[in-house]
Amino acid sequence: MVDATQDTRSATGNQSASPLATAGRILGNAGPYLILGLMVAILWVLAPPFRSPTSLGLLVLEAAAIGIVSAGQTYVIMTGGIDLSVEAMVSFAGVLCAILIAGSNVAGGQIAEGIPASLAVLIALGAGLAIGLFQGALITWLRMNPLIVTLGFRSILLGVALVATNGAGINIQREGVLDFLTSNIPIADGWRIPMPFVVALVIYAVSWVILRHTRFGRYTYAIGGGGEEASRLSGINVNSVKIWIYGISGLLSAIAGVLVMARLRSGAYQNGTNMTLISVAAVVIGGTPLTGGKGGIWGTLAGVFIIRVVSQGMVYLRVPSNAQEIVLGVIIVIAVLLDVIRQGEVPWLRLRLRQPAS
Amino acid sequence: MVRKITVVLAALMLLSVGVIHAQDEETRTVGFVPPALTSPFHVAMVDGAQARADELGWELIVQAPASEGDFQAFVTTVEQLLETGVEAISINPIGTDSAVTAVQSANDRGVPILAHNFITPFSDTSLDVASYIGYDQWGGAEALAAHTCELIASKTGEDVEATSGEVYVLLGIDSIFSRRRTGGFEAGLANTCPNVEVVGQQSAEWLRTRGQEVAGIALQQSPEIDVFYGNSDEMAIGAALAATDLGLTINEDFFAVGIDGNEPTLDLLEAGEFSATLGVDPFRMGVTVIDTMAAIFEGEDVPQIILTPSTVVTPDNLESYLAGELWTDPVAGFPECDNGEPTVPEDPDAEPPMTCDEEMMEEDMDEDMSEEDMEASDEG
Repeated sequence: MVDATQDTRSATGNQSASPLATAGRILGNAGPYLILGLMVAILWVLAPPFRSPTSLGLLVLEAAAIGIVSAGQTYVIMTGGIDLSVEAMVSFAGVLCAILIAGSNVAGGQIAEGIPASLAVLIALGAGLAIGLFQGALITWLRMNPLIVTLGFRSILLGVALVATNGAGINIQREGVLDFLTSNIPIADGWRIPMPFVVALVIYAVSWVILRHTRFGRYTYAIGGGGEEASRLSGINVNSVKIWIYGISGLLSAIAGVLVMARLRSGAYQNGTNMTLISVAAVVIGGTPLTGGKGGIWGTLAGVFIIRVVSQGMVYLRVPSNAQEIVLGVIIVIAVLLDVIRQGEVPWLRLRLRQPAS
Repeated sequence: MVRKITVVLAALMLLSVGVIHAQDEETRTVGFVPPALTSPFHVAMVDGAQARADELGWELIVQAPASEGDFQAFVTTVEQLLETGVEAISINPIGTDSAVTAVQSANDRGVPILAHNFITPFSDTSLDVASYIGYDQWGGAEALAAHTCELIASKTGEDVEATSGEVYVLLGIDSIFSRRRTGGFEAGLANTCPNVEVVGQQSAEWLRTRGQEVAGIALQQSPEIDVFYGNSDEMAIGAALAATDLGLTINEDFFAVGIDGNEPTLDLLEAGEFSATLGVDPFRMGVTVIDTMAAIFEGEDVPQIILTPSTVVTPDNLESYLAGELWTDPVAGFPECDNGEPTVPEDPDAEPPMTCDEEMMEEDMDEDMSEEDMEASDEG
């Protein structure tokens, strides 16, 4: 689970033996999980209702969809790109799926006159993959800036979802595969694992294998961190890797979109609200820098949970709603600050850490 | 080549301006600016306005910013419509005073400007708004609360006045809209069933997904919640889904009520998956806007505030609501101020000022805040 690039960082860090520097390094490497553990501990003590099995079940359920979106975002950011279209894809895939199932784009269909849910889900996922690949093709073959391309597709997809629904969510009944996707696996008295979280865990496990144990994964790391030209020169088919990266992000966002839609029983253009910002924040909090090239998928999962625990914790602790944005913002900035310290790329911060040694 | 195109375009533009001005007195071109067309509520209002305009043979130009929070685009849109030569315009500002430059612009051109779904006069009294048309959010929420009391009483088997129970409030993003809807609901509970307690309130940002999230957590803290009230239906629907997923049965173990009465809500109401909504009939509100414009063109005096009706819609009266049988004629009303007081004064003989006095407003808001603070510390 510990990734190679972080190990090399640790090796250089070992040269200074100061306890403070060592502490800083350890804190840096395990950072996201330490912060997560600390937050869970605080909430555990301060908010008794948080300890109930149902409450923890809700926590992992809320983390599932945004976790899957963030996994896709991790691939993209790993190559030094960014996908701003993810939240629009979540909404778009949900709307597409709901309209296909309801067989109508009139708000409040309720009656399933469309195609079977399983087929609708497949079509929505296929559309997500195809649109992602298309964005990747524009970004690589036409050398268009990923920021602009994905921003453009964000507008297009949200716009299509809005036009198709006329602003109202399409109500659907949960049947067949949607019933399965919103079910729970009972494991012990009161303890249940929500299916969306199982889906998320499978996606994270597969992603870890892909990124750590396949050639495709090694290329993904190599392209990031400013290594795109070097990769090209060393014979890596950079274009093909990057196109697939955006395809994966589109597919994963579409999966999240179907999960959100099934849970809300509604395909609405608002279903993905805020997911782009949160996914990018989760990736960075999880230790993958925006320049890419290092970090890892499990860090992102920690990042997602940090944001979810903060968000839930504030409701438990009755933080006034209007102040919650501030807290979330502060957490993001602190997490990135820790990342900067860990990487030791800011001279005066590095100096401060090493001073006691001299 | 380019020059040729420019000339043609210019000619076309002149021609279209000419067409607008050449129209006879009866054919009017009017503008309608919702805050955005991203909710079924505003779409329905446009549908109503369009239907009435078609009947009158008017041309209705509808333009809206892409998102509700974009106040700058809102002002620009209004200015653009004024530029095309509309003879009257109705706007739904949600950033309240951020729209004053647009109103000023209409005043400068002498184009009658109306406000729809909005009965809070601008604080700048030098502006001339022909009429504010909308429903009384406070009063509507109060009526919904009274119905909520009956729902709780039906569950506990006690008298409505004596029944006790727990209500959780899902707030919209903090604004005059969320404050009026929450204040009216709390006042309604206090008047009708004083023993019912509001056990918590949190923002769910007007979203179904956030409503679901917040309600799930709320049920961990207060498993005995009887009613989820949403400042909008969507948030209450999310809460109902969360509670259902946790094994509770709607309309037996708990109730979900909200404000708006949009199609997706009415659909769920019919299916027995929602308890009650405040129907404000946005379609007929849109019709009222065009009717008011027609009255202004005829030179009639129109009330400064036109109050459209709102009704508590339940599965029992859903059909009548859809048929428009519950709609009553709009009446001259009172301004809705952000002051923690009912819009329509309790004393029927009272003559409230026709503007919301800013100084008074601030004082009242301070009081409200200190009360909330006290409540918060009680809870902690």
